[in-house]
Amino acid sequence: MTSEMSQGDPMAAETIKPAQGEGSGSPDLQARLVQRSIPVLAAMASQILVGPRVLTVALVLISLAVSGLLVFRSMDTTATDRALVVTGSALVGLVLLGLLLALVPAGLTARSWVLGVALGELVIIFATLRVELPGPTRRWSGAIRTRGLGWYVAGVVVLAAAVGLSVGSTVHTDAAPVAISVQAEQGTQYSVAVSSGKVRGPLTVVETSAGGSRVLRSGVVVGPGNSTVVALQPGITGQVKVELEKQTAKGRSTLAHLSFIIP
Amino acid sequence: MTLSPAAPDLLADESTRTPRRSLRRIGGLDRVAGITATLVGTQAVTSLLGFIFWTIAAHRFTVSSIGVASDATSTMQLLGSLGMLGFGTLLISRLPAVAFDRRRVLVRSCLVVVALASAMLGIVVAASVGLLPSGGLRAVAATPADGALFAVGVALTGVTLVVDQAVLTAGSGLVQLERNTVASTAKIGFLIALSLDHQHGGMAIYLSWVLGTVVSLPVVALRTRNPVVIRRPRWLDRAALRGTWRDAASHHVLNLALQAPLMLFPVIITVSASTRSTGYFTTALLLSGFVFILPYAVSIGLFAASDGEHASMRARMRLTIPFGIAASLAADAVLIPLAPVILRIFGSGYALHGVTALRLIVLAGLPFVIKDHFVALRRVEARPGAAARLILITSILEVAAAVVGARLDGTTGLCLVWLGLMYIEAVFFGAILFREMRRPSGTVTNRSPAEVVVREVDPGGQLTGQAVMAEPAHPGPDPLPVAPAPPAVTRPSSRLGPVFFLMSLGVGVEALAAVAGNATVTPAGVDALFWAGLVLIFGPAAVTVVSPRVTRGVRLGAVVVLGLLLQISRYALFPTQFVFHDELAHANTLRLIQLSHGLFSANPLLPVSSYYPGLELVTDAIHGLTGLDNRGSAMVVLLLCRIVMTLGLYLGLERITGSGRIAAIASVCYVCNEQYLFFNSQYSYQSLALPLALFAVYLLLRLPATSSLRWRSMLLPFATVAAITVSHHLTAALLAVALCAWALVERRVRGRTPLGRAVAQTGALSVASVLAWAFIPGNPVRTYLGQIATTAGDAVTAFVERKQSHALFDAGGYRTPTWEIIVSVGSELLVVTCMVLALRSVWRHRTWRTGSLALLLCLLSVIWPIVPAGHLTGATSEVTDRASGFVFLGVGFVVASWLELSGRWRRSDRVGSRWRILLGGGLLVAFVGQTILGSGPQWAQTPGSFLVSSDSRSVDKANLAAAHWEAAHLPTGSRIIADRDASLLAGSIGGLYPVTHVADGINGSAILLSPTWTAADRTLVRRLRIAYVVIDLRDATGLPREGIYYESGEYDQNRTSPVPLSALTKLNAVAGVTRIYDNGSLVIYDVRAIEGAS
Repeated sequence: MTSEMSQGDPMAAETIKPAQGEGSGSPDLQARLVQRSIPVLAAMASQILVGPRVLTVALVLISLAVSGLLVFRSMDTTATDRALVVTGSALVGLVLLGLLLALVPAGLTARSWVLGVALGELVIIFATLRVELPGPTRRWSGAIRTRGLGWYVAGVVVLAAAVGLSVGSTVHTDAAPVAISVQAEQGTQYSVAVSSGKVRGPLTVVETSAGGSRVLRSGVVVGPGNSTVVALQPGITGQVKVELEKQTAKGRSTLAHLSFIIP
Repeated sequence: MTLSPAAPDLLADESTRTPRRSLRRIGGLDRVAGITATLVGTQAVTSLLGFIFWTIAAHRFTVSSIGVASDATSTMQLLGSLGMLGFGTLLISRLPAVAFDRRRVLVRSCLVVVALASAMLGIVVAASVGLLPSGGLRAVAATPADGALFAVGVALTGVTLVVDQAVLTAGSGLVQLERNTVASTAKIGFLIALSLDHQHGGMAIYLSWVLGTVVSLPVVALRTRNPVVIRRPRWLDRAALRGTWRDAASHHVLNLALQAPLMLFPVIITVSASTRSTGYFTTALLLSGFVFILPYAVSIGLFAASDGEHASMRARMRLTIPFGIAASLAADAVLIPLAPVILRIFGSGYALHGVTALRLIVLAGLPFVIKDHFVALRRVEARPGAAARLILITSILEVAAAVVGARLDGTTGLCLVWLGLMYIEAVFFGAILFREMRRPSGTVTNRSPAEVVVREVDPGGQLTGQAVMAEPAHPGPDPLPVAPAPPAVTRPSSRLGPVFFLMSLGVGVEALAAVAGNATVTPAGVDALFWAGLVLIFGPAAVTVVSPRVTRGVRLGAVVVLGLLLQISRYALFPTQFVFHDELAHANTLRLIQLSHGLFSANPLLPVSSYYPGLELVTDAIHGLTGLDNRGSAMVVLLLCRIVMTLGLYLGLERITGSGRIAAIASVCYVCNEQYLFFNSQYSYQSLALPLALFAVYLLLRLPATSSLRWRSMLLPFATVAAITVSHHLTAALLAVALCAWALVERRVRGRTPLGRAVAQTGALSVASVLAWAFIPGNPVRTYLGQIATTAGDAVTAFVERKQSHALFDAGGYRTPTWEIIVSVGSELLVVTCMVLALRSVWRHRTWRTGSLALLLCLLSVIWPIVPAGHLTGATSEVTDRASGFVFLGVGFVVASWLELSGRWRRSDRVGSRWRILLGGGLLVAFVGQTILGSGPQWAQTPGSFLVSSDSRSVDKANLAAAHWEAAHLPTGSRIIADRDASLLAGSIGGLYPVTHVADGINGSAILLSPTWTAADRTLVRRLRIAYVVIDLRDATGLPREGIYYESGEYDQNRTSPVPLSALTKLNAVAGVTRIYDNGSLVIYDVRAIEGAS
């Protein structure tokens, strides 16, 4: 069996060694520590001070990217190995951090996750202080190429379109049917709600009791965000039905009904 | 390969007048772009002017005249196309290679033939229309003069169609645009003039059309006049046509075959559906023409600008194909959402009934790009016959598929089946294109009229030889220097892009399967799309890894993309909701963690999952950190898991074998395991634990081989083992066993080594942590695994004693399609054969000597037979199916090692190609067959209409609506009883506590399934403290697909008929029970009033 490791693999060739940095505690390292900690600290501050959710998420993502990049560049191996170690370590770290957070009084909340991850990131930043991040002028070689980029862009567009198409179809299919339900109980006042995920109607809400049938509401049209609430008289026993107003060969079509004793 | 020296365009007089530098540029992509732009421009201009023409005609002529003219012009264009005899495209390919002074003669000779043929067709039709019973077409032969006019019009149409294509070899195609603009404008002028002259017949309109065409011809003559004075020019030369007939016929067949399917589709719909449907479809087809024109124009531009040089054309295709695809996608992005709006222009009926057809048809723009490029390539290579044969076959298949689709589901069925076939064709033609694009090809250099020097270039770009091919000398101006073509062979890494794109198309087809399933298209159609999509995803990756000329990076990329896209394909099918049993059970654990902010809350749906919450913790972390909803967070987590699993497997195997190729092939073999696609892609604990186990092994393999390991090196492996321990019981246990075995083997084979010590330490930690976690208070894992083992053991005993059998294929009232049985059995036989050969090879070559882990993998592969053997009973099949995720690690390793040693498929000659085709086909059969075995029946594979107790097919709008109502209106944690799927949704979405036998120890199924309400039911309600009962009335419509309505051991489990509706509605008559929710299918009863219930 022959090794292919050295056969023209750009990623295998790309092994970036950690910088041999300056002495510990030098002003440069201190400045680097501050710079790299800024997004982490900002994320923590935003979470503690209940900043806008979007801001917190953005800061968290930036700080995750920074710490991920630091771990990535701290290893003296191929890019694919580093990608695996970073991703795998992140999963392992989150599982163990979750166990830890479950033990603290605050428990597992968005806030505790942000703060816990931020603390972990600070540890990473401190441990990888000597690792240099690529400057804006550094030329990426090997890992990123623009050649053939069109294929990737086209592929991603296809994937996005596929998921979009599927989501649209599923959302349309899963729209809730017409339903009738007990809506509220305030004292002796009962009411029923008629709802639907799609526009349906006109419908009739009919109350049937020992005394006969009575139309509670007709011409009801329901749809997304547009349910109809019908108050019931207290003290009767019977059913409340939702019927399609359109007459069919078999008579009116009952879509759903409730049966209960109204106190 | 035919290479011709670049010769100046005879027709392109501007080319001879333009400075050389500019010509060089025109000879490249600029010229392709120019021709494409002018073709599209011509379409736009003629459409606009045509609209004006017919509007004026409508105002100045009677309706019947318009009808006559419309029929006559349509027939004229059809006959003109037929009368071209393929000379248009023939001239594009031939002219650049023809001597300068002979070009005009050739063109003229061709035009005369076309004119005669077209005129003949016109005369025949004019003479025949009298036989028609009625219709506007009879007017074309009302008088001899009209008949002659009609024939002249047909002849002119044929001539202009050929001229329009021939002039594309000249410059940027502006001549064609100019001619058409002049013709269309002149037609309008003549129309007005004739109407002012009180000519109101339909043939007057036709005459204006003919006159406009006549006026436009001098434009071509002027713009292509010969700058070189040729003595004694010949007007016609029959000899010029010698040897062209065969190619012309091939071009003609090719052109007709390309057009035929779209022309026949309306007829098919008329026959299969109705004329009304045809109207909607034809309108959609008309609109989609604006999408299809671009790929067609690009390919014609490429063809015309190539001047017969396929080397440079291949280089240009690397840009034009992505461009065409991007343009088609952009057009799709506009047309798909705006389809109803655009169709409303034609009327509300079109917007309502034509929208699906339009949306589906426009998706064909993308495969058309590939197909048109293939045709262009073959034309440039002077192989129109080869292309014609293939296109003819595909066109026949398309028509046949359209007939089948239309019979299955009318217009939608036609579109779906045709579209599926088009995408399969795109893969086929795409594979040919990519092979051609990467083929070592000659680069033409230093060409003179007398000779062509061809450099033979190897894949690495090294010059390997030269050949001098004699070409006939041409008199005329100096030959043009050829623009330096890009290297004929791309860098290997760029090959992943097309592979990725093709595989993405597979996900697109999966999405179409989801759409078709949601639209309740016939199962066969959905099934076809589903498997076509999977083949599209798997096929290119399999081909790539067995290809001998790709780098490690490309192989690795293909393997990673395969893993990711197979995962994404699951979201394409079920994008918004967890739908499988285990997914919903784990979603409930996640909900409980988010509700309690802690661990170990009781999850009645799968009690053990609360004690192995690794997956849910990571999901909650993503949810907390990013704000994504649970489904989105789960998607991110599972994609990360796929990355870790694929990279861990590949890099681990690469470290063991030292070969990226073995690692890649083994990884693809691993994808073939039964559980990979369906089970290990679900939101379930092993989907995290298995990748982490591979990660742990990889971490141990990458430890430095120093005598003493630093504790820091062991930190991550230890942490990974700890994470696995709290993520999945079985994986953690198997990993512990595997690590201990590895340590023992390492000790036995190599003695005391640092690796052996590290593995032993990790194994010891793994054993300790697994045991410690199993014994934490409340962890039901021992009972859970014990029950599984007992059940499996009982099943084996019963099978041995012939008391129990298990249907291998047809279960739950479902009949497995024959092809699925054949492929499944075939794949099992294939795996058996490969395993026998592989193990023999492993034995002969002592493959295990590669290392202790290699030996362990060989041993693991030996136990593979238990996987298929487990299918003999239902209980054991669940266990052994799960084991396939582990066992296939060994299978992949030994099979890949064997293939690497066999070596014949790696040869770069024809024999190697055949072996690679065999290998790719074998992998595909194994993948499809094993996936069928692991996925269960067809109804479980794709979305579709509701089926009773079928997990993914039971999670429908009615069940979801009830669950969401429960979440909004019932107190969180209320105890309910419901059938299997309503329970899963009530827990994971509704926030309730579904009572289950496995969690509560009491079988409450009689409350749901007993025929009448009894005191025993009342007692059950009290004992189980049930507050609400959820009933799915549809349970009465069929037997449960999963074999149970509620839970194993339920009331009257061995029933042969569905539960009666009276059993499901019995609570309506029970005093104290209130029916509080009804959506027509799901009914919720409040039973709190029953005495003793809380």
